[in-house]
Amino acid sequence: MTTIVIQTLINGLILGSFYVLLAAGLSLIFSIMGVVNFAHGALLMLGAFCSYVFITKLGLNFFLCLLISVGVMVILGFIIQKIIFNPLKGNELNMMVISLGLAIVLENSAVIIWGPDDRVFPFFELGVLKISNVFLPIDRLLILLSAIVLIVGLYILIQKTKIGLAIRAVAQDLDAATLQGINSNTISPFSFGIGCGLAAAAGTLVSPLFLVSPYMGTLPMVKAFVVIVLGGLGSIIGAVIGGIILGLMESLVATFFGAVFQNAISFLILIIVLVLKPEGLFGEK
Amino acid sequence: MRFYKVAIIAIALTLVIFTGTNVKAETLKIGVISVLSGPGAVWGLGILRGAEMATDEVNDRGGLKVNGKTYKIELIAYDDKYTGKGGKSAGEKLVYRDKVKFIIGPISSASLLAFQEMTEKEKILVLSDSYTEKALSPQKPFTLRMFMTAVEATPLLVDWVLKEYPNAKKAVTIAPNDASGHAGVKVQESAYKKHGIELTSKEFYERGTKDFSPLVTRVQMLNPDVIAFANAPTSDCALMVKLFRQMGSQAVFTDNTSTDFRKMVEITGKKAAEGYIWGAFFDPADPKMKSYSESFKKRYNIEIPSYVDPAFYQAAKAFYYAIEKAQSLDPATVRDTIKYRIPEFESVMGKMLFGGKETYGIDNQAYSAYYASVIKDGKQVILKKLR
Amino acid sequence: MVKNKGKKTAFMYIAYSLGACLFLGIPHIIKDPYFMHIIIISVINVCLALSLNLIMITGHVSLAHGAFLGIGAYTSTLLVTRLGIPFWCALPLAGLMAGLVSFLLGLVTLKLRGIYFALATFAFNEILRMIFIGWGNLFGGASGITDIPPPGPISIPGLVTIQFNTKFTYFYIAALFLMLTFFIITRLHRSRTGLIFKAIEEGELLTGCLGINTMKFKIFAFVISSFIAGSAGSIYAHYLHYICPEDFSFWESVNVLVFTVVGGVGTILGPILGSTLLTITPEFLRFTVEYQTLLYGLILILALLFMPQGIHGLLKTITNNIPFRGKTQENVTFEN
Repeated sequence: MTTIVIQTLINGLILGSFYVLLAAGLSLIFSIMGVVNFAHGALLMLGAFCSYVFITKLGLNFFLCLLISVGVMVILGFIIQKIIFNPLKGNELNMMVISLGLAIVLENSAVIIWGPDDRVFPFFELGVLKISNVFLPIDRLLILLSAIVLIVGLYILIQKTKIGLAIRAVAQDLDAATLQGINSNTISPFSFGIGCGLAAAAGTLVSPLFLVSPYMGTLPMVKAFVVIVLGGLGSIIGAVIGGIILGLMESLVATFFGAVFQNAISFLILIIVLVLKPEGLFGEK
Repeated sequence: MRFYKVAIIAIALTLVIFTGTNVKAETLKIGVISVLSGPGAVWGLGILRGAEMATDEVNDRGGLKVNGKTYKIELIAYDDKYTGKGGKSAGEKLVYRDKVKFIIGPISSASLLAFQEMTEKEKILVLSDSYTEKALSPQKPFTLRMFMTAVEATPLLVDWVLKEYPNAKKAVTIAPNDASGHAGVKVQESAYKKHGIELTSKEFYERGTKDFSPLVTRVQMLNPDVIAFANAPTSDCALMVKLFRQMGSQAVFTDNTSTDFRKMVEITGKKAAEGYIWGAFFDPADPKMKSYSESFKKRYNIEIPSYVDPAFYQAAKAFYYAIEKAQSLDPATVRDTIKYRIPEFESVMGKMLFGGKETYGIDNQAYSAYYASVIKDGKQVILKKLR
Repeated sequence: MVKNKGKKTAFMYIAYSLGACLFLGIPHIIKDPYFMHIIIISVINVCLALSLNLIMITGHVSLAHGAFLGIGAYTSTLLVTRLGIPFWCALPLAGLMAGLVSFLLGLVTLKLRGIYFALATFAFNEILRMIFIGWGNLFGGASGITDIPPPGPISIPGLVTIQFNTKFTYFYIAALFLMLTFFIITRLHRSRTGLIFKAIEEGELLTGCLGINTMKFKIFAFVISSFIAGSAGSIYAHYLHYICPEDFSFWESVNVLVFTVVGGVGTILGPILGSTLLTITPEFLRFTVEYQTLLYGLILILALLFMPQGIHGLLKTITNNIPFRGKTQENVTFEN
């Protein structure tokens, strides 16, 4: 029995790390632009396809593809923010709806280019670690490790660098930051770009596990919203803790009560948090 | 002398020109309703492609010849987006604006149920593949289901599986949590019950789930002998099989729908996929199927993704065959021709038959081949023709 | 109440009446059943957009409209098919049911603002959809409920019996409902209540300090908007004669939101224009079946980039720039 519980917890941790990456990017975008980015799932998908193209057409190493696709998506995010979101600055409702339009465009373009089917992402053929009846597929562990590295990197960027300071300043108070000489016209798109890069990393990392398809981003994005509400909008620590909690909860509920509740539990958590403590665990009111 | 040569050539040319232009081509519009966007498009595009290929074959040989006239077929395809409202709008436009008398598709039950009332009233012949039992009834004579559902096919597979594995005692079904998934499980449950086996568990998962480790862990706890997938897409099944094997499962996997076995092998690896059983709807070794796959690959640049493509290719071909056989464009006549003269028609899925009166009250259900297949060494091996 | 009546008012009354007559005469002008279908769907969408607008002018973005449409549709269907209640009674009952549910939901969620409220309504919509699918015995499961009967015929003794199983007669039910909705919405917008709604959006704290129970008004807006949506659900169900959970998903809510935003939030004309145009446009895009959805997304992006105030805002900009003979007079109402 304990082995099942441990297995479930490990499953949840790995699932959670995926949510963490996605939620961190979404949280960053929200704290900078104050906008609900409905295109985040599509951006995840785009990043995954980017890596897919690089690895299948150019046969590059997986981690190299990861870095390249993150870089590409950061630049793309920068451009998207400038062209699409910046003109609507201040109107959060419009920005939310336009992100929806963006999601539709990206998803359907992917279908036109690559077709609607799932594609297999080539990855190393790794084995399974078995520690006293608990099964740890090595490919999943690798993904977990990469996610940890990325989150730590993000934390360092935001908390310990000058650019991170600028981002936090803009997120806190745009006018005050501008008065301090921070150019929000570069910081905002840059942060959006980082958000996209994180989404691309999340997408690339799970592609070997979950396949690549134009629709792969929608459900994870919804879960990411739950995570940032749970953890608190605008807080990276919140995204980490929230993501882990959600992953664990999903795994526990699905394993012991039935997979059919795997999504329902997320919505339940969302409603409970919103009703009891809307600012989440680490958010500011 | 020269004059006669010129005259003969001139007369010959004139004759050629005039007999050539005597054949005036009219257009026959055929409607297609299918899910062409969103995740359902994986299946829905198959309807369009199948119809396209059959149509192009007919058009390339000049068109349909009915009652002295030749008709070029024009396919008009609309997206129903897998919803009832979408299906209704698509149907309304096809029937009232484009004035079609025949509709190929849809695959979505909601879509069919939404426009069926109108098509029955207007006597439009609908060649569909929706899973719902409500699709066929004596009150709906103009709706044909061109392909078998779980109700027709699955019990045969279960019978065969349990004969091959008589020691199997514990069986678990895994299906997506929607109409087709629930329908497939219902059929499997009664089929297993007939053999005295009560399903240990019936697992449902939401479509779109990609991380199956909780579900796999849960099922592994029960340690079943047979894990039966019901109407789950191949990539989902493959991801689960991979996890199951990683956890050391020795269970027998069965799948009641057509499996893209190449994708299964690609995702799980040859070793894990070994022994995977499914009910195939066509025999890839059949020469008609072979030539169809080749033209398919040449045209669309991908392998055949699911049974929907050849199924609707066959359905459309049968439909055109029936029109020419009946020499009529009246939907009722064509329908009866399809139903009663189809055994003469054989295509990529083998012979077809219409039946189903016991279940639906009307013989509007098509039956065709069904093979028990297994993956051996990464390839499909047909073990028994079940129908 | 001091009303500064401009010359425009009489003109507007005439315009409205003419418009109404034209609107009601549509079935006699348009005979094509496909166009009638699109028109009826548009009418329903207009009601949905107008009602969503009501809760949005208090500053709350609701993503639950699809769920309320569904509640109304299922309630009406079950009342008519299981209890034999006639359509004309089932319609308001359906609206009431939706209103009741929204009342309970609003009590719990209307204290949230912005994205929090939006997410809560989104979660509610999804949970309701799962209930519609899961509770098969009541709701027919994932394949929904078929053979929903149209409203029974009305016979005016000695004169004529009106059947409601054709689009042409059903249009009048939908049209009547639209006019009712329009009436309710415009009255609310122009009343003191409407002013309070807008005040809540601009500054809830301040409005509260003025002694107004903002929660009461927000719940009122929410309930009215859901009542309309639920009633629209009944009209939808008895028109299509078939409902399934997928018709009431989160995407339906998003659709209504898009209608409202692209049309112009906060106005009355905006949602009308937005929903009509965005219902008709995809039908015109059908010829490019592969690109239909992609084009829709592109149009959405372009619309928001170039018409941030919605279509209504665009029209206003155009008409404001047309030189008028004489001055334009505004209708201003003052409250004592």
